[in-house]
Amino acid sequence: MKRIAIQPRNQWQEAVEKLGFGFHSTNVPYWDESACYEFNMDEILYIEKASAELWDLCLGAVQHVMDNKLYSRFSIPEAYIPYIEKTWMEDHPAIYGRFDFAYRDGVLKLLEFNADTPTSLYEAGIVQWFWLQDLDKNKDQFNSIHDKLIAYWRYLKNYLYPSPLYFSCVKQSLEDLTNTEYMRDCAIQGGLDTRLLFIDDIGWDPAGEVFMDMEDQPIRNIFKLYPWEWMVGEEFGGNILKDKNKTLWIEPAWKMILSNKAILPVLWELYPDCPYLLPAYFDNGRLTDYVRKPILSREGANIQLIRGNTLLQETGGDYGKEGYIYQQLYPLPDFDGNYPVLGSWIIGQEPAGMGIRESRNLVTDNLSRFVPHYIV
Amino acid sequence: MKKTKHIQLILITAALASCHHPSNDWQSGNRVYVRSDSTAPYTRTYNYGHAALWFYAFRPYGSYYNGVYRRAGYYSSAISERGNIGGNTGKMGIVRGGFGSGYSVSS
Repeated sequence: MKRIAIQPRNQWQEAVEKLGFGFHSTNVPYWDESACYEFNMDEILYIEKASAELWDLCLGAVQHVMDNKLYSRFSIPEAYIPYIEKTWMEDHPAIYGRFDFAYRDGVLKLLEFNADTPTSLYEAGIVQWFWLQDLDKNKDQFNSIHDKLIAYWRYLKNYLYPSPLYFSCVKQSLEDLTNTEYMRDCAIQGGLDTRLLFIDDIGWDPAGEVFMDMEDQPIRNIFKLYPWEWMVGEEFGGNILKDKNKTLWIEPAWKMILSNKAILPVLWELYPDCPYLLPAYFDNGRLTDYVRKPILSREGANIQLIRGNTLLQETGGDYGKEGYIYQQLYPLPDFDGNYPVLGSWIIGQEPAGMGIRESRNLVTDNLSRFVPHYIV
Repeated sequence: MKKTKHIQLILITAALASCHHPSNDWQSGNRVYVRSDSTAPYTRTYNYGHAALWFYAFRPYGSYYNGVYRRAGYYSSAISERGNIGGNTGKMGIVRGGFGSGYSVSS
């Protein structure tokens, strides 16, 4: 893995906007093509193999959590437990997730798994692919995200109700809308009948006890880019348990377990010999150099990095009331003050590609930049 | 090869271009000023060809009643009247707005 400084394309902003990528910059560039990462094929095969193995282990960990009723560790409301288990037992459709890895000195370690509402899908699947077409069409990239999304939606079609598939996200975020509409694009290409319906436009018919769209048509299949922990935290979410249509929500509710950082100590307890896992616990008693993470947090909020008795870094935020986990410190590699985290995508049941986000410090936060990659 | 050989986007390019419609009055961070609903799949207006038309097609309209704003529908002749909440009393029983307290899921 090498970091290569390169000249951005002339008018790169225009090039990415033509793809519908409107959130390439905030106060600072988010899409950053002044550099890229170079991998050799052995490294990519290693990342791919690790992702596939971890996906299998994660499924085993979900079963373990259910068998041993560990839900309180995950701060999951009791009322939802039967529903979560039902979505697991009935194998409700799920389509994607993103492992975040630290890759340093040839060793890959799992930092967390974004299993419910992973973003940067469009950057990874589309924007960096077109970037590489401009840079050198003959170069390869760990990126079959687009193909795999279309193929898996086509496969899932038989597992959905014979009814439109709705796609939903919040109205206020162009990033969320882009990710959601990209997903819908792939579903359309997979042969599905789709609708866009913003999350706060979802209706509930208290008489019929079903969810409704804006035309008062029942919703039976819905992809939502909206976290389960928010859904169960809002009173409206209780309707899911009453829903007579038994709507299929994608990602399904059992992803609440995998997207929660409490899964990290569970994975470590179950698979301590796995080379891709870091020691992780529900208390810090056994660790001297560690990262304290809220079990529910986003964009690197409320993280503490501790080495010995020294606080290396701390981030602010509003998370943490549900509890924390403690994971052995494994610093991201330092490329002249740039710290990349590898996001490895699982689509369906398979590794599908990679996106890299860089930060100026050890915590990948909401100021991180997406940096493309290629394979030599 | 580890990369997709060919990529075609049938929906997102034109649709999302409209969401990046700059406006000095309304622009604030990454907020989106497009509104759509289940009656208005983007493909319905795909051939309009200009982003500004998207912008206006999905612009919501509504009215104030006792100081409370009620959204009634969308400016677009392409959108089914059944999609407009305003004059249809049969729809008054549906509860909306229950989800959506979060701002963005970015992870």
